[in-house]
Parts: sequence; C-alpha cells; structure tokens
Amino acid sequence: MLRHAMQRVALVVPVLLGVLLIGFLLMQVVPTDAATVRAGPTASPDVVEAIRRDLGLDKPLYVQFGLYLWRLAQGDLGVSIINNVPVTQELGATIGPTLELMVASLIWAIPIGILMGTVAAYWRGKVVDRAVLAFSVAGGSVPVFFLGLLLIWFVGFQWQLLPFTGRGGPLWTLEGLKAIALPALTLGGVFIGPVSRMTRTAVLDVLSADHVRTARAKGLTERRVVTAHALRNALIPVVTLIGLQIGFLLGGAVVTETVFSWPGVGRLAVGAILSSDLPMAQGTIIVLSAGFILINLFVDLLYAALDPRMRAA
Amino acid sequence: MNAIAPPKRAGVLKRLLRDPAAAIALGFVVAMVLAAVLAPWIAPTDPFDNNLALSMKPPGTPGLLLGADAQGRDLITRMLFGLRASLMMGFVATAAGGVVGVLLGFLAAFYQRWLDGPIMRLMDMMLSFPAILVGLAIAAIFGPGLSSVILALAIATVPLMARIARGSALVTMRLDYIEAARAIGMTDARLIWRHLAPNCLSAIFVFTTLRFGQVILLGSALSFLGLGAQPPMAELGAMASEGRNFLFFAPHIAVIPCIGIFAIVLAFNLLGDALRDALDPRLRF
Repeated sequence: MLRHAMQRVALVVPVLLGVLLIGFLLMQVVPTDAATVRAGPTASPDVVEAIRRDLGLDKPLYVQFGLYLWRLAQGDLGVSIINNVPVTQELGATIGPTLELMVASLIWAIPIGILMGTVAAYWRGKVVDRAVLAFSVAGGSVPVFFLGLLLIWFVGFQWQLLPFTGRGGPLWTLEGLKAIALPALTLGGVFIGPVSRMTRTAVLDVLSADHVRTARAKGLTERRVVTAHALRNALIPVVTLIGLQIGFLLGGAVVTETVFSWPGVGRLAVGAILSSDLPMAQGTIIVLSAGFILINLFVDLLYAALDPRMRAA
Repeated sequence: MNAIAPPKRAGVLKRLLRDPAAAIALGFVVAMVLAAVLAPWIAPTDPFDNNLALSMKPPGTPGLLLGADAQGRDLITRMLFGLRASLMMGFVATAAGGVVGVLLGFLAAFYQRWLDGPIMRLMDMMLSFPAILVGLAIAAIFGPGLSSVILALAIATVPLMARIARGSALVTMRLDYIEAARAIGMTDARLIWRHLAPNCLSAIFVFTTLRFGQVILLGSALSFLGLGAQPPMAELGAMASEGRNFLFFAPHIAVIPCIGIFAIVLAFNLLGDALRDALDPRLRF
C-alpha cells in the first residue's frame, strides 16, 4: 500500500510542476510589464528599475522560473492588476465558498444517484429502469446554465421561494442555507445522471456474481442481498467513477458560480480572464488545477485502500 | 484474401432505425445540420438586423415565430445562425482533436515498444486538466473568442481520442491478418492505413458521436461565460448569456437557445448510444 502510494505521489510531482510552468509561461505572453504595473503610474524610472531587479525580471527565464517557484512557496502569487489586492488574499476568500458549493451539491446528489442506479439495476428492463436511464441521458445533455436559469425563473422569481444571488452567510445560519439551496440544486442536478448511470452498471455486474447467487441460495431476504452483498461491492467502482467526474463537477461549478453570482474561485477566474487581470487568472488556474490533481490523487489512493487488487495496476 | 470478409455495414443503418429514439435523434441531427448549412439562404432576415420596435416581442408575434431578442432581432434567424456557429465549433474541435488523437493512439499501439510509453504518459498528463481548465487557460493566453474555445476543446479531445484509438488498435494488432499483411512485406504506413484503421473505425466513430455532444455542451458553457463567441455574433451559448440579462422581462430570449443546445446534445447522445449498440454491442466506454 505504501509503495503504491509513493508511486502515485511521485507521478503527481511532474504534473504539478507542469501546471506551474504553464502558469509561469502564461505571464510571459502578456505585453504589460509587471514591474511598471507594480510600481504604479506615478513611479519614477529609477523605482521601476529597482522593482524590476527586486522581482528578478532582468534575469534569464529559467532563473525567473526558479524565483517564481520560490515566491510561490512563500505564498506570493502576485498582485491583481485591477484592484491591487494580493492574489492569494482573493483566493483565500473564494476557495471556501467553492468547496462549500461542491460539498452541498454532492451531499444530496450522490445518495440520490446511487439510489436511482440501484433501483434501476434491480428492476432491469422494467419501466423504472427505463425511466432512470431516460432521466440520466437527459440529465447528461442539459447545459448547467439552463438548469440554473430555470430554477432562478421559477423558484426564485415567480414563486419567490429562495434567493438566487450571492452567498447568504455561513451555512449554519438560515440565510446561508437558503442562499446555497438553488446553486447546490443546479450543480447537484447535473451530477445525478452520471452517478445513477455508473451505479446501475456497477450493481448489474455485481448482481450476476456468484456470491450474490449464494447469498440468495442461503435464503437471505432480497433487501439484505441488495444492500449488504450487491451494493456494497458495487460501491468501490462507483467511488472511482465519481472521482473521475470531478473535472465535470469543476466545470459545472464555474458555470453555477457565474449564474448565481456565487463568490467562488470559478467566478473569480472568469472575471479575471474577462478583465485581462493576468496575475489573478494565473493564480486561479493554478489553484483549480492543483486542487483537481490532488483530489484525483486522493480518489486513487482511496480506491487502492478499498480494493487491494488495484494496487498492482 | 477471400477468407476474410470485410465487416458488413449495410445492416447498421437498418438496425439503428429499429430503435425509435435513435431514428428520431438521427432525423433531428440531419435536419439541424441541414438548417445550419443552409442558414444564410433559409433565414427570414439578416442575423444582425435589429428593429428596436420589436424588442423582446414574445414567441408567436405575427411574423416572429420565436419572438425577438432585446435588440429586436428575429430569433428564428438568430437560432439558425447560432446553430451554425455552435455546430461548426463542435465539428472543427472534434475533427481536429480527433485526427491528432487517433494518429497518436495508432502510433502508440503500432510502435508499442518505443512510442507507447512516452505518448500515453503525455496523454495522461493532458488528462490531468479537465476541459474547463484548458478552456480558461487558453482564453487567458489568447483572449476570449470562438477560436480560443475551439482550440481548447480540440486539445481536451486529443487524449480521450488517443486512448480509444490505442485500445482498439491494440486488440486489432493481435489478429492474424495483420501478421499476414506484415509477412507479405507491407510498409508500416500502408498497414496502418489500409488494415489497422478500418477495423478500429466503429469504436472511433461511436466515441466521436458521443464526444460531439460533450464538445457542444462544453463550448456553449464557455461561450455562456463570455470566453467564447463574442456579441453580436450568434452562437447558442452566447445567445443564452445575452438573454440572461433579460430573464425577468422576456425569458424566451435565454430559454430558446438553451432548449436548442439541450436538444442537439441529447440527439447526439442518443445517437451515440444507439450506434454503439448497432455497430458493436461489446463496445463500452
């Protein structure tokens, strides 16, 4: 197990370095001079020159990349061109809401998806199965923003039930819960389809396995056969497959945040790109990529812990 | 050579049409592609013709079947041209990413000893970036625009396509007739093109159909965020984004393009599933 974990972690290092290199090169294509921007419009040429030396901008590119990594290690991602706020400060304020939104979406979508997939597999070929399949195909074809706009229009605007802009506060307050309801319904809504589809396939595989036949033969109740023998074994592939969908979830989160003005990293990234705020765009892309890679690593290790056979692969 | 009959393809369409959902999806896709190609000739007006007197007119207004948008532009025309832009985006991105991916996948499988490791490790690295992040990064580097989105979607398609092509080619490579073709001294290029590629076609074709739907979905999302097609250009995601500003006054401006995207993606997904079943039920992604 430890050996496998070490190997996986070793594989992640070059990918993370790649992310940082892309982030670094992103800054090289910008026509604006970072030293001039940092110094401000009224600074004298001497000051600009001093800052340039200070930032190491007069050194060759590979030295600059080293300096960039060094500053990154100290938590310095530069300063926003638009409002002069340190990038790390903005990121610190937005990571929480993004994680909040993702967790709030998964916490209801995964159980419902697993339930739907199990039901569909158990009554394979019946009306329930067809309904679940139709739902998951349709769910996989809906643009996230369409679902979001529909919820805003009906629940938020017509029926005036829930707010639909921004974060209402911490999740333990009623305002906070109300504000996250529609974004979480949107993001979770598009996630149910894939989860139910994957669960159905996994449960179908397990239902035809020998140990399930044995469980039936020894007279266990159907309920126990499905929950304790079939679903339990099916959950292992489902965990990985859900892990593989994290990229999809991330894409959905970026759109959901924009639709509901949710103050997360995705919305920050889009805003930064649209206003050509490159240090901010670079910081958000690095953080989102690194987060995605680390979550994948975690899912991989979790899978190996759940199923020892996977460690060899 | 007579012993190896080419796979029968004549029955595929027939088998496909036996499934009513697939038949409807196929009909819909054909109609949409025709509408998109013929848009400049069949559209009732010019996509940029605005008449502020007609601003936000609801669907069903005489002369405006789908109504008009905030600037008083006919929505049927906008939808036709939006469809054209969205399908073009999906087609170029899928084709470009597909060709590069399939080529890399074949090379990895064919020259397994030297190329498989390096190519597939590179593909694994590319897969560490979800499509949305590729989209954000490309838009940050080259600026928002339809070509940025196409480039991003093509890049995101390459590793997926390479995996499918490689997997399919590895299975084919083990078949006797490849060995036979090698034995008669065929060149590698001819072997790949004439004998390897045709046998991997169905897997690649099914995956391309399913991928096309995903590409449209992703591309329209990027356009919705403002990173893709820029106004006043008609593109379904960008139109939905413009309509969002008038959601409470005239919901049809946003809802109609959204329904368009949904219908196209659904049709391609249904078609891909049905094609898989018709071509080779053993294929599973």
